[in-house]
Amino acid sequence: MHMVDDLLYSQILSFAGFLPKKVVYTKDIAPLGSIPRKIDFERLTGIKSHREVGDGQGSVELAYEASIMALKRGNLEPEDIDLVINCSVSKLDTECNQILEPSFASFLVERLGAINADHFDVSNACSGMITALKVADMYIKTGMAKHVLVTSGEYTSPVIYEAQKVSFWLNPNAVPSLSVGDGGGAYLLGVSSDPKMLRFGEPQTLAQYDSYCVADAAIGAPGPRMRTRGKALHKAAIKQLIPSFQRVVKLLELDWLEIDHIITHQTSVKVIERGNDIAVGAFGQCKCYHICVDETGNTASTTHAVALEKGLEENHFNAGEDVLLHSYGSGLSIFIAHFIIPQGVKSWL
Amino acid sequence: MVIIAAWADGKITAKNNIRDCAKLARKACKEANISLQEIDVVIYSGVYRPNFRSEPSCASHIQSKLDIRCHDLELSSEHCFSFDIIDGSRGVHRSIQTVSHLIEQLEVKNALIVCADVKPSKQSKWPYQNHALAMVLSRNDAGLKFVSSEYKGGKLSAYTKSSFDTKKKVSVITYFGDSSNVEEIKEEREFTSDSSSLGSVQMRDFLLWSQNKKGNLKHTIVDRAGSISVTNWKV
Repeated sequence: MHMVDDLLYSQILSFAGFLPKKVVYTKDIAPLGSIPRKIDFERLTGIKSHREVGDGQGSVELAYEASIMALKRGNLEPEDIDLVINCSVSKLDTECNQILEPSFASFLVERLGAINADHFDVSNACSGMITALKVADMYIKTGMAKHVLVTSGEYTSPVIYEAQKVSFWLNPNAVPSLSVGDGGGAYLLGVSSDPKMLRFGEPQTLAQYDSYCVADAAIGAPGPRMRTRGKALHKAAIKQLIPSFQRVVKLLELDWLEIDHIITHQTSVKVIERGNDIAVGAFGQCKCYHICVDETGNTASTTHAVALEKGLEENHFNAGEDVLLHSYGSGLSIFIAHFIIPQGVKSWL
Repeated sequence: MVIIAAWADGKITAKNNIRDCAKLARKACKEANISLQEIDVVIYSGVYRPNFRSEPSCASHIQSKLDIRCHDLELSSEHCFSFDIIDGSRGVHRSIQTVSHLIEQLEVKNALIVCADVKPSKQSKWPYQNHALAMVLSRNDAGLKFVSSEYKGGKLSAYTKSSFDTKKKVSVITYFGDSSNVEEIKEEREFTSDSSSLGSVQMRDFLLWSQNKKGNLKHTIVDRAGSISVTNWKV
Protein backbone atom coordinates (compact mmCIF):
# COMPACT_ATOMS: atom_id res chain seq x y z
CA MET A 1 0.00 0.00 0.00
CA HIS A 2 1.40 3.40 -0.92
CA MET A 3 0.25 6.87 -0.09
CA VAL A 4 -1.47 9.09 -2.63
CA ASP A 5 -1.04 12.89 -2.66
CA ASP A 6 -3.77 14.69 -0.76
CA LEU A 7 -5.27 18.14 -0.96
CA LEU A 8 -6.33 18.74 2.66
CA TYR A 9 -4.02 17.97 5.56
CA SER A 10 -4.23 17.39 9.27
CA GLN A 11 -2.02 18.24 12.23
CA ILE A 12 -1.68 17.33 15.89
CA LEU A 13 -2.82 20.39 17.85
CA SER A 14 -2.01 18.85 21.21
CA PHE A 15 -1.39 15.57 22.99
CA ALA A 16 -1.53 14.29 26.55
CA GLY A 17 -0.67 11.23 28.55
CA PHE A 18 -2.21 10.48 31.92
CA LEU A 19 -0.98 8.12 34.62
CA PRO A 20 -2.98 7.23 37.73
CA LYS A 21 -1.24 8.00 41.03
CA LYS A 22 -0.84 4.52 42.50
CA VAL A 23 2.70 3.17 41.96
CA VAL A 24 3.21 -0.60 42.06
CA TYR A 25 6.74 -2.00 42.06
CA THR A 26 7.83 -4.95 39.94
CA LYS A 27 9.64 -6.48 42.89
CA ASP A 28 6.26 -6.73 44.63
CA ILE A 29 4.30 -8.35 41.76
CA ALA A 30 7.15 -10.51 40.48
CA PRO A 31 9.54 -11.16 43.37
CA LEU A 32 12.60 -13.27 42.82
CA GLY A 33 11.64 -16.93 42.84
CA SER A 34 8.11 -16.35 41.57
CA ILE A 35 9.11 -17.02 37.97
CA PRO A 36 10.64 -20.34 36.87
CA ARG A 37 14.36 -20.73 36.19
CA LYS A 38 15.14 -18.00 38.76
CA ILE A 39 14.31 -15.30 36.24
CA ASP A 40 14.60 -11.80 37.68
CA PHE A 41 11.67 -10.15 35.89
CA GLU A 42 12.79 -6.62 36.75
CA ARG A 43 16.27 -7.30 35.39
CA LEU A 44 14.87 -9.12 32.35
CA THR A 45 12.59 -6.26 31.32
CA GLY A 46 14.06 -3.17 32.97
CA ILE A 47 10.57 -2.35 34.26
CA LYS A 48 10.88 -1.12 37.84
CA SER A 49 7.30 -0.04 38.42
CA HIS A 50 3.97 0.71 36.80
CA ARG A 51 0.85 2.66 37.68
CA GLU A 52 -2.56 1.29 38.59
CA VAL A 53 -6.01 2.83 38.74
CA GLY A 54 -7.44 4.07 42.01
CA ASP A 55 -11.00 3.82 43.29
CA GLY A 56 -13.55 4.96 40.73
CA GLN A 57 -11.12 4.73 37.82
CA GLY A 58 -11.49 2.50 34.78
CA SER A 59 -10.63 2.81 31.10
CA VAL A 60 -13.17 5.63 30.54
CA GLU A 61 -11.79 7.70 33.40
CA LEU A 62 -8.18 7.28 32.19
CA ALA A 63 -9.17 8.33 28.67
CA TYR A 64 -11.22 11.20 30.08
CA GLU A 65 -8.33 12.64 32.08
CA ALA A 66 -6.00 12.53 29.06
CA SER A 67 -8.72 13.99 26.81
CA ILE A 68 -9.37 16.93 29.13
CA MET A 69 -5.64 17.70 29.21
CA ALA A 70 -5.38 17.52 25.40
CA LEU A 71 -8.43 19.78 24.96
CA LYS A 72 -7.03 22.35 27.38
CA ARG A 73 -3.65 22.34 25.64
CA GLY A 74 -5.34 22.70 22.27
CA ASN A 75 -7.52 25.58 23.55
CA LEU A 76 -10.73 23.79 22.62
CA GLU A 77 -13.89 22.93 24.52
CA PRO A 78 -15.61 19.53 24.33
CA GLU A 79 -18.41 21.00 22.22
CA ASP A 80 -15.84 22.03 19.57
CA ILE A 81 -15.08 18.39 18.80
CA ASP A 82 -16.66 16.85 15.69
CA LEU A 83 -15.48 13.31 16.19
CA VAL A 84 -14.13 11.16 19.03
CA ILE A 85 -12.31 7.96 18.09
CA ASN A 86 -11.38 5.59 20.88
CA CYS A 87 -8.78 2.87 20.47
CA SER A 88 -8.60 1.25 23.92
CA VAL A 89 -7.81 -2.44 24.02
CA SER A 90 -9.01 -3.01 27.59
CA LYS A 91 -12.31 -1.06 27.60
CA LEU A 92 -12.93 -2.02 31.22
CA ASP A 93 -15.20 -0.12 33.56
CA THR A 94 -14.35 0.34 37.23
CA GLU A 95 -15.75 -3.14 38.00
CA CYS A 96 -13.61 -4.86 35.34
CA ASN A 97 -16.58 -5.28 32.98
CA GLN A 98 -15.84 -4.86 29.28
CA ILE A 99 -17.81 -2.13 27.49
CA LEU A 100 -19.33 -3.72 24.39
CA GLU A 101 -22.07 -1.75 22.65
CA PRO A 102 -22.55 0.77 21.15
CA SER A 103 -18.90 1.86 21.57
CA PHE A 104 -16.44 2.89 24.26
CA ALA A 105 -16.23 6.28 22.54
CA SER A 106 -19.95 6.89 23.14
CA PHE A 107 -19.35 6.60 26.91
CA LEU A 108 -16.47 9.03 26.68
CA VAL A 109 -18.47 11.53 24.62
CA GLU A 110 -21.19 11.49 27.27
CA ARG A 111 -18.62 11.96 30.05
CA LEU A 112 -16.87 14.81 28.21
CA GLY A 113 -20.11 16.55 27.25
CA ALA A 114 -18.93 16.60 23.65
CA ILE A 115 -22.47 17.22 22.46
CA ASN A 116 -21.58 17.77 18.81
CA ALA A 117 -19.23 14.83 18.46
CA ASP A 118 -19.75 11.77 16.35
CA HIS A 119 -18.02 8.73 17.85
CA PHE A 120 -16.78 5.19 17.25
CA ASP A 121 -13.99 2.77 18.20
CA VAL A 122 -10.99 1.51 16.28
CA SER A 123 -9.46 -1.67 17.64
CA ASN A 124 -6.00 -2.77 16.64
CA ALA A 125 -4.27 -3.84 19.85
CA CYS A 126 -1.23 -1.69 20.71
CA SER A 127 -1.19 -0.21 17.19
CA GLY A 128 -4.71 1.08 17.79
CA MET A 129 -3.64 4.65 18.52
CA ILE A 130 -1.65 5.10 15.29
CA THR A 131 -4.44 3.36 13.36
CA ALA A 132 -7.01 5.71 14.92
CA LEU A 133 -4.79 8.73 14.15
CA LYS A 134 -4.77 7.66 10.49
CA VAL A 135 -8.56 7.18 10.46
CA ALA A 136 -8.94 10.64 12.06
CA ASP A 137 -6.54 12.10 9.48
CA MET A 138 -8.75 10.70 6.71
CA TYR A 139 -11.90 12.27 8.21
CA ILE A 140 -10.13 15.64 8.28
CA LYS A 141 -8.74 15.30 4.76
CA THR A 142 -12.19 14.56 3.34
CA GLY A 143 -13.71 17.49 5.20
CA MET A 144 -15.98 15.26 7.32
CA ALA A 145 -14.45 16.64 10.54
CA LYS A 146 -12.44 19.68 11.62
CA HIS A 147 -11.46 18.70 15.13
CA VAL A 148 -10.98 15.07 16.08
CA LEU A 149 -10.10 13.70 19.50
CA VAL A 150 -8.26 10.37 19.35
CA THR A 151 -8.17 8.84 22.77
CA SER A 152 -7.61 5.71 24.78
CA GLY A 153 -7.76 4.52 28.37
CA GLU A 154 -5.96 1.32 29.23
CA TYR A 155 -6.99 -0.36 32.47
CA THR A 156 -4.79 -3.37 31.80
CA SER A 157 -3.49 -4.21 35.28
CA PRO A 158 -6.18 -6.91 35.90
CA VAL A 159 -4.17 -9.20 33.58
CA ILE A 160 -1.27 -9.01 36.06
CA TYR A 161 -3.39 -10.39 38.88
CA GLU A 162 -5.00 -13.03 36.66
CA ALA A 163 -1.50 -14.18 35.66
CA GLN A 164 -0.36 -14.34 39.28
CA LYS A 165 -3.07 -16.91 40.03
CA VAL A 166 -1.74 -19.46 37.53
CA SER A 167 1.40 -21.56 37.61
CA PHE A 168 4.10 -19.96 35.47
CA TRP A 169 5.64 -23.42 35.10
CA LEU A 170 2.48 -24.65 33.40
CA ASN A 171 1.60 -21.31 31.78
CA PRO A 172 4.84 -19.59 30.73
CA ASN A 173 2.81 -17.46 28.29
CA ALA A 174 1.25 -15.71 31.29
CA VAL A 175 4.61 -14.23 32.41
CA PRO A 176 4.57 -11.27 29.93
CA SER A 177 1.27 -10.16 31.53
CA LEU A 178 3.37 -8.90 34.45
CA SER A 179 4.82 -6.18 32.22
CA VAL A 180 1.70 -4.05 31.75
CA GLY A 181 0.51 -0.87 33.42
CA ASP A 182 -2.50 1.47 33.38
CA GLY A 183 -2.57 4.79 31.53
CA GLY A 184 -4.50 7.16 29.31
CA GLY A 185 -3.61 9.00 26.14
CA ALA A 186 -5.17 11.57 23.84
CA TYR A 187 -4.32 13.51 20.69
CA LEU A 188 -6.27 16.47 19.36
CA LEU A 189 -6.20 16.81 15.57
CA GLY A 190 -7.13 19.78 13.42
CA VAL A 191 -6.84 21.02 9.84
CA SER A 192 -3.50 22.16 8.43
CA SER A 193 -2.30 23.67 5.19
CA ASP A 194 1.10 22.04 5.65
CA PRO A 195 1.31 18.46 4.33
CA LYS A 196 4.22 17.64 6.63
CA MET A 197 2.57 18.26 10.01
CA LEU A 198 1.23 14.70 10.34
CA ARG A 199 2.18 11.85 8.04
CA PHE A 200 2.15 8.09 8.12
CA GLY A 201 4.19 5.14 6.95
CA GLU A 202 2.52 2.25 5.18
CA PRO A 203 0.30 0.22 7.48
CA GLN A 204 1.08 -3.48 7.59
CA THR A 205 -0.36 -6.53 9.31
CA LEU A 206 1.84 -9.61 9.34
CA ALA A 207 -1.01 -11.91 10.26
CA GLN A 208 1.11 -15.05 10.36
CA TYR A 209 1.84 -13.91 13.94
CA ASP A 210 -1.81 -13.34 14.91
CA SER A 211 -1.81 -15.95 17.69
CA TYR A 212 1.33 -14.70 19.47
CA CYS A 213 -0.52 -12.41 21.89
CA VAL A 214 -4.18 -12.93 22.70
CA ALA A 215 -6.47 -11.39 25.34
CA ASP A 216 -9.84 -12.91 26.28
CA ALA A 217 -12.13 -13.06 29.28
CA ALA A 218 -10.44 -14.84 32.19
CA ILE A 219 -11.58 -18.37 32.97
CA GLY A 220 -13.54 -18.66 36.21
CA ALA A 221 -12.73 -15.11 37.30
CA PRO A 222 -13.83 -11.58 36.41
CA GLY A 223 -11.83 -9.43 33.99
CA PRO A 224 -9.49 -10.32 31.15
CA ARG A 225 -6.47 -12.57 30.75
CA MET A 226 -3.61 -12.22 28.31
CA ARG A 227 -1.34 -14.94 26.94
CA THR A 228 1.80 -14.03 25.02
CA ARG A 229 4.49 -16.06 23.33
CA GLY A 230 7.00 -13.49 24.51
CA LYS A 231 10.24 -14.75 22.97
CA ALA A 232 8.65 -15.62 19.63
CA LEU A 233 6.84 -12.27 19.43
CA HIS A 234 10.02 -10.39 20.33
CA LYS A 235 11.93 -12.28 17.64
CA ALA A 236 9.25 -11.56 15.04
CA ALA A 237 9.14 -7.87 15.96
CA ILE A 238 12.92 -7.41 15.88
CA LYS A 239 13.00 -9.06 12.44
CA GLN A 240 10.72 -6.36 11.03
CA LEU A 241 12.41 -3.41 12.75
CA ILE A 242 14.97 -2.30 10.18
CA PRO A 243 12.77 -2.86 7.09
CA SER A 244 9.97 -0.89 8.75
CA PHE A 245 12.31 2.03 9.51
CA GLN A 246 13.90 1.87 6.04
CA ARG A 247 10.49 1.97 4.37
CA VAL A 248 9.21 4.94 6.37
CA VAL A 249 12.43 6.91 5.92
CA LYS A 250 12.21 6.38 2.16
CA LEU A 251 8.48 7.06 1.88
CA LEU A 252 8.50 10.26 3.94
CA GLU A 253 11.96 11.33 2.71
CA LEU A 254 13.38 11.56 6.23
CA ASP A 255 16.99 11.66 7.32
CA TRP A 256 17.21 9.22 10.24
CA LEU A 257 19.99 11.18 11.90
CA GLU A 258 17.95 14.38 11.73
CA ILE A 259 14.76 13.05 13.36
CA ASP A 260 14.51 14.88 16.69
CA HIS A 261 12.61 12.24 18.68
CA ILE A 262 11.94 8.55 18.16
CA ILE A 263 9.38 6.78 20.31
CA THR A 264 8.94 3.06 19.78
CA HIS A 265 6.30 0.88 21.42
CA GLN A 266 7.18 0.69 25.12
CA THR A 267 7.34 -3.06 25.78
CA SER A 268 10.46 -3.28 27.92
CA VAL A 269 13.65 -1.30 28.43
CA LYS A 270 15.75 -4.22 27.22
CA VAL A 271 13.76 -4.60 23.99
CA ILE A 272 13.91 -0.87 23.22
CA GLU A 273 17.65 -0.73 23.91
CA ARG A 274 18.25 -3.79 21.75
CA GLY A 275 16.16 -2.24 18.98
CA ASN A 276 18.17 0.96 19.25
CA ASP A 277 21.46 -0.98 19.01
CA ILE A 278 20.23 -2.65 15.82
CA ALA A 279 19.06 0.69 14.40
CA VAL A 280 22.43 2.28 15.23
CA GLY A 281 24.12 -0.45 13.20
CA ALA A 282 21.88 0.26 10.24
CA PHE A 283 21.55 4.06 10.32
CA GLY A 284 23.84 5.48 13.02
CA GLN A 285 22.84 6.89 16.43
CA CYS A 286 19.59 8.85 16.28
CA LYS A 287 19.30 12.18 18.10
CA CYS A 288 17.00 11.00 20.89
CA TYR A 289 14.97 7.89 21.61
CA HIS A 290 12.55 7.92 24.50
CA ILE A 291 11.98 5.34 27.21
CA CYS A 292 9.29 5.54 29.89
CA VAL A 293 8.43 1.86 30.28
CA ASP A 294 10.81 1.53 33.25
CA GLU A 295 8.35 3.57 35.33
CA THR A 296 5.05 2.88 33.55
CA GLY A 297 5.10 -0.69 32.23
CA ASN A 298 3.58 -1.40 28.85
CA THR A 299 0.44 0.74 28.67
CA ALA A 300 -0.78 -0.81 25.40
CA SER A 301 -2.26 1.70 22.92
CA THR A 302 -1.32 4.66 25.14
CA THR A 303 2.44 4.01 25.32
CA HIS A 304 3.43 6.75 22.88
CA ALA A 305 1.20 9.34 24.56
CA VAL A 306 2.56 8.40 27.99
CA ALA A 307 6.13 8.67 26.66
CA LEU A 308 5.32 12.05 25.09
CA GLU A 309 3.96 13.27 28.44
CA LYS A 310 7.16 12.21 30.17
CA GLY A 311 9.13 14.02 27.48
CA LEU A 312 7.08 17.15 28.18
CA GLU A 313 7.71 16.92 31.91
CA GLU A 314 11.43 16.58 31.25
CA ASN A 315 11.35 19.57 28.89
CA HIS A 316 12.55 17.59 25.85
CA PHE A 317 10.22 19.12 23.27
CA ASN A 318 10.34 22.35 21.29
CA ALA A 319 7.78 23.56 18.76
CA GLY A 320 8.72 22.57 15.24
CA GLU A 321 10.71 19.48 16.21
CA ASP A 322 9.68 16.20 14.61
CA VAL A 323 8.65 12.95 16.29
CA LEU A 324 8.49 9.44 14.88
CA LEU A 325 6.02 7.12 16.61
CA HIS A 326 6.67 3.46 15.85
CA SER A 327 3.95 1.02 16.89
CA TYR A 328 3.80 -2.73 17.14
CA GLY A 329 0.52 -4.36 18.00
CA SER A 330 -0.63 -7.93 18.40
CA GLY A 331 -1.69 -9.22 15.06
CA LEU A 332 1.21 -8.43 14.18
CA SER A 333 0.42 -4.88 13.18
CA ILE A 334 3.11 -2.32 12.32
CA PHE A 335 2.25 1.33 11.77
CA ILE A 336 4.39 4.48 11.99
CA ALA A 337 3.33 8.11 12.36
CA HIS A 338 5.53 11.18 11.97
CA PHE A 339 4.44 14.59 13.27
CA ILE A 340 5.67 18.06 14.06
CA ILE A 341 5.43 19.34 17.66
CA PRO A 342 2.86 22.16 17.65
CA GLN A 343 3.39 25.77 18.69
CA GLY A 344 2.70 26.50 22.33
CA VAL A 345 4.11 23.24 23.61
CA LYS A 346 6.27 25.05 26.16
CA SER A 347 3.19 26.50 27.85
CA TRP A 348 1.37 23.19 28.31
CA LEU A 349 2.67 22.39 31.80
CA MET B 1 -15.98 5.29 -6.77
CA VAL B 2 -16.32 2.46 -4.28
CA ILE B 3 -18.66 -0.40 -5.04
CA ILE B 4 -19.74 -3.53 -3.25
CA ALA B 5 -18.34 -5.99 -5.76
CA ALA B 6 -19.78 -9.07 -4.07
CA TRP B 7 -21.03 -10.32 -0.73
CA ALA B 8 -21.88 -13.51 1.07
CA ASP B 9 -23.60 -14.14 4.38
CA GLY B 10 -24.58 -17.03 6.60
CA LYS B 11 -24.85 -18.51 10.05
CA ILE B 12 -21.57 -19.03 11.88
CA THR B 13 -20.52 -20.86 15.01
CA ALA B 14 -18.86 -19.29 18.04
CA LYS B 15 -16.28 -22.07 18.16
CA ASN B 16 -15.21 -21.73 14.53
CA ASN B 17 -16.20 -18.17 13.83
CA ILE B 18 -12.95 -17.20 12.12
CA ARG B 19 -13.04 -20.29 9.88
CA ASP B 20 -16.68 -19.60 9.03
CA CYS B 21 -16.03 -15.91 8.29
CA ALA B 22 -13.06 -16.88 6.11
CA LYS B 23 -15.29 -19.27 4.16
CA LEU B 24 -17.77 -16.47 3.45
CA ALA B 25 -14.92 -14.15 2.46
CA ARG B 26 -13.58 -16.71 -0.02
CA LYS B 27 -17.06 -17.05 -1.50
CA ALA B 28 -17.42 -13.27 -1.90
CA CYS B 29 -13.94 -12.94 -3.47
CA LYS B 30 -14.73 -15.73 -5.92
CA GLU B 31 -17.96 -14.04 -6.91
CA ALA B 32 -16.14 -10.70 -7.31
CA ASN B 33 -13.58 -12.53 -9.45
CA ILE B 34 -10.63 -11.29 -7.40
CA SER B 35 -7.86 -13.28 -5.80
CA LEU B 36 -7.44 -13.17 -2.02
CA GLN B 37 -3.94 -11.79 -2.61
CA GLU B 38 -5.52 -8.70 -4.20
CA ILE B 39 -7.12 -7.70 -0.88
CA ASP B 40 -5.30 -4.64 0.53
CA VAL B 41 -7.36 -4.07 3.68
CA VAL B 42 -9.45 -6.25 6.00
CA ILE B 43 -11.87 -4.55 8.40
CA TYR B 44 -13.94 -6.46 10.95
CA SER B 45 -16.94 -4.68 12.41
CA GLY B 46 -18.59 -7.12 14.82
CA VAL B 47 -19.25 -6.29 18.47
CA TYR B 48 -19.72 -9.69 20.11
CA ARG B 49 -16.66 -11.96 19.94
CA PRO B 50 -15.98 -15.44 21.28
CA ASN B 51 -15.00 -15.25 24.95
CA PHE B 52 -15.00 -11.42 24.76
CA ARG B 53 -11.71 -11.29 22.83
CA SER B 54 -10.08 -7.87 23.05
CA GLU B 55 -6.83 -8.46 21.15
CA PRO B 56 -5.59 -8.94 18.53
CA SER B 57 -8.08 -7.60 16.00
CA CYS B 58 -10.48 -10.19 14.62
CA ALA B 59 -9.55 -8.80 11.20
CA SER B 60 -5.98 -10.05 11.68
CA HIS B 61 -7.31 -13.53 12.53
CA ILE B 62 -9.33 -13.53 9.30
CA GLN B 63 -6.36 -12.26 7.29
CA SER B 64 -4.28 -15.07 8.79
CA LYS B 65 -6.93 -17.71 8.07
CA LEU B 66 -7.14 -16.51 4.46
CA ASP B 67 -3.34 -16.33 4.27
CA ILE B 68 -3.41 -12.86 2.70
CA ARG B 69 0.16 -11.65 2.19
CA CYS B 70 1.33 -13.30 5.41
CA HIS B 71 5.07 -12.77 5.03
CA ASP B 72 7.79 -10.79 6.74
CA LEU B 73 8.60 -7.23 5.88
CA GLU B 74 11.15 -6.49 3.18
CA LEU B 75 12.08 -3.25 1.48
CA SER B 76 9.51 -3.58 -1.28
CA SER B 77 7.18 -6.33 -0.10
CA GLU B 78 3.43 -5.85 -0.50
CA HIS B 79 1.25 -6.16 2.61
CA CYS B 80 -2.32 -6.16 3.76
CA PHE B 81 -3.59 -4.10 6.71
CA SER B 82 -6.20 -5.35 9.15
CA PHE B 83 -8.10 -3.72 11.98
CA ASP B 84 -11.51 -3.61 13.66
CA ILE B 85 -14.13 -0.88 13.80
CA ILE B 86 -16.74 -1.00 16.55
CA ASP B 87 -19.82 1.16 16.53
CA GLY B 88 -22.70 -1.09 17.54
CA SER B 89 -24.85 -2.06 14.57
CA ARG B 90 -23.65 1.10 12.76
CA GLY B 91 -20.16 -0.44 12.58
CA VAL B 92 -20.83 -1.86 9.14
CA HIS B 93 -21.65 1.61 7.75
CA ARG B 94 -18.62 3.07 9.49
CA SER B 95 -16.42 0.39 7.94
CA ILE B 96 -17.75 1.14 4.45
CA GLN B 97 -17.05 4.85 5.00
CA THR B 98 -13.51 4.04 6.17
CA VAL B 99 -12.85 1.82 3.15
CA SER B 100 -14.07 4.67 0.95
CA HIS B 101 -11.49 6.96 2.60
CA LEU B 102 -8.75 4.35 2.22
CA ILE B 103 -9.53 3.87 -1.44
CA GLU B 104 -9.48 7.64 -1.98
CA GLN B 105 -6.32 8.31 0.00
CA LEU B 106 -4.18 5.17 -0.15
CA GLU B 107 -3.51 2.93 -3.09
CA VAL B 108 -6.16 0.51 -1.90
CA LYS B 109 -7.99 -1.26 -4.70
CA ASN B 110 -9.88 -4.00 -2.90
CA ALA B 111 -11.03 -4.29 0.69
CA LEU B 112 -12.75 -7.01 2.65
CA ILE B 113 -15.27 -6.06 5.31
CA VAL B 114 -16.48 -8.78 7.64
CA CYS B 115 -19.30 -7.97 10.00
CA ALA B 116 -19.92 -10.83 12.41
CA ASP B 117 -21.36 -11.38 15.86
CA VAL B 118 -21.43 -14.52 17.97
CA LYS B 119 -22.66 -15.41 21.43
CA PRO B 120 -19.54 -14.62 23.51
CA SER B 121 -20.16 -17.30 26.13
CA LYS B 122 -22.61 -20.20 26.33
CA GLN B 123 -24.15 -18.78 29.49
CA SER B 124 -24.86 -15.34 27.95
CA LYS B 125 -28.42 -14.30 27.19
CA TRP B 126 -28.38 -13.99 23.40
CA PRO B 127 -31.57 -13.17 21.50
CA TYR B 128 -29.85 -13.52 18.10
CA GLN B 129 -28.50 -16.17 15.78
CA ASN B 130 -24.74 -16.01 15.20
CA HIS B 131 -24.33 -14.41 11.79
CA ALA B 132 -21.68 -12.99 9.46
CA LEU B 133 -21.62 -10.91 6.32
CA ALA B 134 -18.49 -10.66 4.14
CA MET B 135 -18.34 -7.90 1.53
CA VAL B 136 -15.68 -7.21 -1.09
CA LEU B 137 -15.41 -3.50 -1.86
CA SER B 138 -13.50 -2.32 -4.91
CA ARG B 139 -12.53 0.82 -6.74
CA ASN B 140 -14.90 0.60 -9.67
CA ASP B 141 -17.89 2.29 -11.31
CA ALA B 142 -20.16 -0.59 -12.17
CA GLY B 143 -22.42 -1.84 -9.39
CA LEU B 144 -23.83 -0.63 -6.08
CA LYS B 145 -21.81 2.56 -5.54
CA PHE B 146 -21.23 4.03 -2.10
CA VAL B 147 -21.79 7.81 -2.27
CA SER B 148 -21.71 9.17 1.27
CA SER B 149 -22.75 8.63 4.88
CA GLU B 150 -24.14 10.69 7.74
CA TYR B 151 -24.16 9.96 11.46
CA LYS B 152 -26.37 11.31 14.22
CA GLY B 153 -25.67 10.52 17.85
CA GLY B 154 -28.29 9.82 20.46
CA LYS B 155 -28.32 9.76 24.24
CA LEU B 156 -26.66 6.71 25.69
CA SER B 157 -30.03 5.24 26.64
CA ALA B 158 -29.14 1.57 26.15
CA TYR B 159 -25.85 -0.29 26.14
CA THR B 160 -24.23 -3.63 26.87
CA LYS B 161 -21.24 -4.68 28.94
CA SER B 162 -19.73 -7.96 30.01
CA SER B 163 -20.13 -8.93 33.64
CA PHE B 164 -18.97 -11.85 35.74
CA ASP B 165 -21.69 -14.26 36.80
CA THR B 166 -20.49 -15.38 40.21
CA LYS B 167 -22.76 -18.46 40.25
CA LYS B 168 -21.83 -19.73 36.80
CA LYS B 169 -18.24 -18.49 37.17
CA VAL B 170 -18.16 -17.05 33.67
CA SER B 171 -18.38 -13.67 31.93
CA VAL B 172 -21.76 -12.96 30.33
CA ILE B 173 -23.43 -10.07 28.49
CA THR B 174 -25.42 -7.62 30.59
CA TYR B 175 -28.00 -5.41 28.91
CA PHE B 176 -28.72 -1.94 30.29
CA GLY B 177 -31.58 0.46 29.48
CA ASP B 178 -34.30 0.19 26.89
CA SER B 179 -33.05 -0.18 23.35
CA SER B 180 -34.93 1.79 20.71
CA ASN B 181 -36.73 -0.58 18.38
CA VAL B 182 -37.27 0.58 14.82
CA GLU B 183 -39.14 -1.77 12.53
CA GLU B 184 -38.06 -2.42 8.97
CA ILE B 185 -39.38 0.19 6.53
CA LYS B 186 -39.15 -0.40 2.78
CA GLU B 187 -39.93 2.53 0.51
CA GLU B 188 -39.24 3.09 -3.17
CA ARG B 189 -35.72 4.44 -2.60
CA GLU B 190 -35.16 4.15 1.14
CA PHE B 191 -34.61 1.16 3.37
CA THR B 192 -34.62 1.36 7.16
CA SER B 193 -33.36 -1.79 8.84
CA ASP B 194 -35.06 -3.64 11.67
CA SER B 195 -33.02 -2.41 14.64
CA SER B 196 -33.62 -5.57 16.64
CA SER B 197 -31.33 -7.47 14.23
CA LEU B 198 -27.55 -7.71 14.32
CA GLY B 199 -25.63 -5.23 12.14
CA SER B 200 -24.66 -7.92 9.63
CA VAL B 201 -28.31 -8.92 9.15
CA GLN B 202 -29.37 -5.29 8.79
CA MET B 203 -26.80 -4.75 6.04
CA ARG B 204 -27.64 -8.07 4.33
CA ASP B 205 -31.33 -7.13 4.24
CA PHE B 206 -30.48 -3.82 2.57
CA LEU B 207 -28.27 -5.56 0.01
CA LEU B 208 -31.08 -8.00 -0.82
CA TRP B 209 -33.60 -5.15 -1.12
CA SER B 210 -31.27 -3.13 -3.37
CA GLN B 211 -30.78 -5.95 -5.90
CA ASN B 212 -33.46 -4.88 -8.38
CA LYS B 213 -33.24 -1.15 -7.73
CA LYS B 214 -31.91 1.65 -9.93
CA GLY B 215 -30.96 5.25 -9.11
CA ASN B 216 -30.21 6.80 -5.72
CA LEU B 217 -30.80 4.65 -2.65
CA LYS B 218 -30.67 5.30 1.08
CA HIS B 219 -30.02 2.88 3.94
CA THR B 220 -30.68 3.77 7.58
CA ILE B 221 -29.46 1.88 10.66
CA VAL B 222 -30.57 2.79 14.17
CA ASP B 223 -28.43 1.28 16.91
CA ARG B 224 -29.32 0.09 20.41
CA ALA B 225 -28.77 3.56 21.88
CA GLY B 226 -30.82 5.33 19.22
CA SER B 227 -27.84 6.67 17.23
CA ILE B 228 -28.47 6.74 13.50
CA SER B 229 -26.30 6.17 10.45
CA VAL B 230 -27.49 6.82 6.92
CA THR B 231 -25.59 5.66 3.84
CA ASN B 232 -26.34 6.96 0.36
CA TRP B 233 -25.88 4.69 -2.64
CA LYS B 234 -26.23 4.83 -6.40
CA VAL B 235 -26.92 2.00 -8.82
